[in-house]
Amino acid sequence: MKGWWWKITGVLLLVYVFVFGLIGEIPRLPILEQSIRNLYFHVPMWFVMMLIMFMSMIFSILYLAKSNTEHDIEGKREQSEIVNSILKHQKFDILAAEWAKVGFVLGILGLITGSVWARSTWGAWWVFEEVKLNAAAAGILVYAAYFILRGSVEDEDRRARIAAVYNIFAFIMFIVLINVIPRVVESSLHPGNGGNPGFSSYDLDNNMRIIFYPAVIGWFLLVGWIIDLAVRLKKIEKRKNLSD
Amino acid sequence: MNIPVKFIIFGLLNVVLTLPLSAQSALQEGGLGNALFAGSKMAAVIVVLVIILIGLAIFLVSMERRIKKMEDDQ
Repeated sequence: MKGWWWKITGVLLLVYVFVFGLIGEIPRLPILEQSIRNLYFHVPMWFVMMLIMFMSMIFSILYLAKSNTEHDIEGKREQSEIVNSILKHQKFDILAAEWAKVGFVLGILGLITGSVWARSTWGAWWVFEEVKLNAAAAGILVYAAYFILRGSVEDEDRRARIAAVYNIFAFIMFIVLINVIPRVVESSLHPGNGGNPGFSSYDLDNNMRIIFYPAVIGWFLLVGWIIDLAVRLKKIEKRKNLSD
Repeated sequence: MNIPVKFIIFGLLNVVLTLPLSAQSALQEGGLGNALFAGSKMAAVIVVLVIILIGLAIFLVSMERRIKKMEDDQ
């Protein structure tokens, strides 16, 4: 997506989040203390990951919807026309894969940062009884399987189709795992799950909300920039491989 | 490629795996863990930010290598 405005907006929002996230007022809660500031970093990472995986699923659906029209190579003589036609056909598959790739990295980072936060508040790097942790790890594995699936199919068209179908189920499973199941269980360490009050009930004076919402937007825009670069590079690489 | 990937991974592993040794001087067992758990817990926020920064750096390195590879092929 062209233009500087949304990239700069993302960076500016994050500057605001970093500065006021670190020096702004927070509710003084026992055990959490200063680590509640991770609300502006760890939590948006997972929110953004959900958005990104959702977009990846949309691209997979679009690929399946638009792949009936076989690209017609016979009619085209120019090599550049053929390359363009193939790339156009693969466009949504490239998008789905790259968005999922970055989302996957975000998930890994989310697990690591969550583990750090857990050690500092719950006293352990990992809590095996905590449903949300196990669900998040399972969600990450679901997407790891997506990449393994992609790697196992040689033919590009078949790979794109199979991966697209799997991606749809992967996202549904992912949302069920990290959003539905942890909320249904009886006891959980995570706020907002298993009978705990969500963080929204902590910021009685909205001091955290005014930084949290811009944080989600800012991180989404910044990660969007990263995805944009990855997609553009992937297209250039593919174009180069096809031209050789 | 100037530096093969395996060298980078091996080098990073060397550094990362020896880090816990330097944490021993701070506290008893689980040095880093206790440092995170103690006091105002600002350490937790800082470590999280560093992890995010390292993630960004890894992305930039990956971009750099891929672009360089294409430049060299031209």
